[in-house]
Amino acid sequence: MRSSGRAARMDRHHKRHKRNVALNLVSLMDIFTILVFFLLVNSSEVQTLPNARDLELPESIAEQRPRETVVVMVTDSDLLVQGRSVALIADITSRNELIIPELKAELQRQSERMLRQSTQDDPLEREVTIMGDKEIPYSLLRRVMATATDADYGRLSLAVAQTTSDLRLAAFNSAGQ
Amino acid sequence: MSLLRSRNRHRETVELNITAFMNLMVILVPFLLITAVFSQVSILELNLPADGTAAAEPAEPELQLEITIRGTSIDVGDRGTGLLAVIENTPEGYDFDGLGSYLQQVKQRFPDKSDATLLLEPEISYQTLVAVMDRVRVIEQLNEGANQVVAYELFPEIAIGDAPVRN
Repeated sequence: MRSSGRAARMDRHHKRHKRNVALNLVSLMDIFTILVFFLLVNSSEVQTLPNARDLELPESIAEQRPRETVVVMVTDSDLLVQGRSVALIADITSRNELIIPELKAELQRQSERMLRQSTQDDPLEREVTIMGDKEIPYSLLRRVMATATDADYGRLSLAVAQTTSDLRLAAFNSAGQ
Repeated sequence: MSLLRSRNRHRETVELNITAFMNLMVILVPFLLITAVFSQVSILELNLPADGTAAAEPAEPELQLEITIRGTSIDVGDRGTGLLAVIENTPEGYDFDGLGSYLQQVKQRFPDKSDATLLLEPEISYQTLVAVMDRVRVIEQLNEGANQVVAYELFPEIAIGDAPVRN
């Protein structure tokens, strides 16, 4: 194949400079090193709650860190305890009783397991964290909470995604100007 | 001459063999980026009355703050005396700022009060519940001089219950 004048010229040019070909990776290395240390430090913060990929948590300005507890996840299709699906939301809403029997059984099983691990035998001190999708209605949330209380969990917490309030954001922006 | 000098200089530079290190970095950076959590999760604690204390509570004559979230308004009331204020929705939705400023007045009248009860209608969404809880817990105010936001505690001990049917 006959190469064009420009291609030939570039070929010659490349041949001439072949000897000095060396990738300059210094800046890339710099940024990688900084990035790796930043991410390592960032990820070393212990994540006590599972990653909420299939649900969207409601936003709140709450600052309290989550503790290590039994986690009940309420997505728009499933009800999960410690990451394991125990019931379908459609099944729960089709029945009309306040207590969800599957959830109660699973929570009691979890509290028995916890009991063996620790001396947390006072029902008032047992804690459950509810991670719910922000669209779920109160009628469903209320049944989950009632079931948790019925299964002898004295303390309930709601998991939320932490955000900055509009007022703080406005103050921060005006401070920057 | 200049060509010769540059060639000599290149021969003198010490080549670091960083290929292995680069490999490590290239693997480590995407891995850490994927596992990195950029959204912080925090919790809101509920103050549920225990079975034993629920019966004793009504004996206290003081204010029992009840905030009822309805479809079209947020009602603030006292369990003993009844409704105190109705905060109607604005066209954009619930009037959270109005609720916050009203609750601040209540807090000024009852500085020792720290608990409140949220009563919800069944179809209220979780996000609304959490937003109201935020407003009931604290009120944030801008300190103009220092350009700082200060959060004042209102009623941080929150219990949740069902709204009575409106008649």
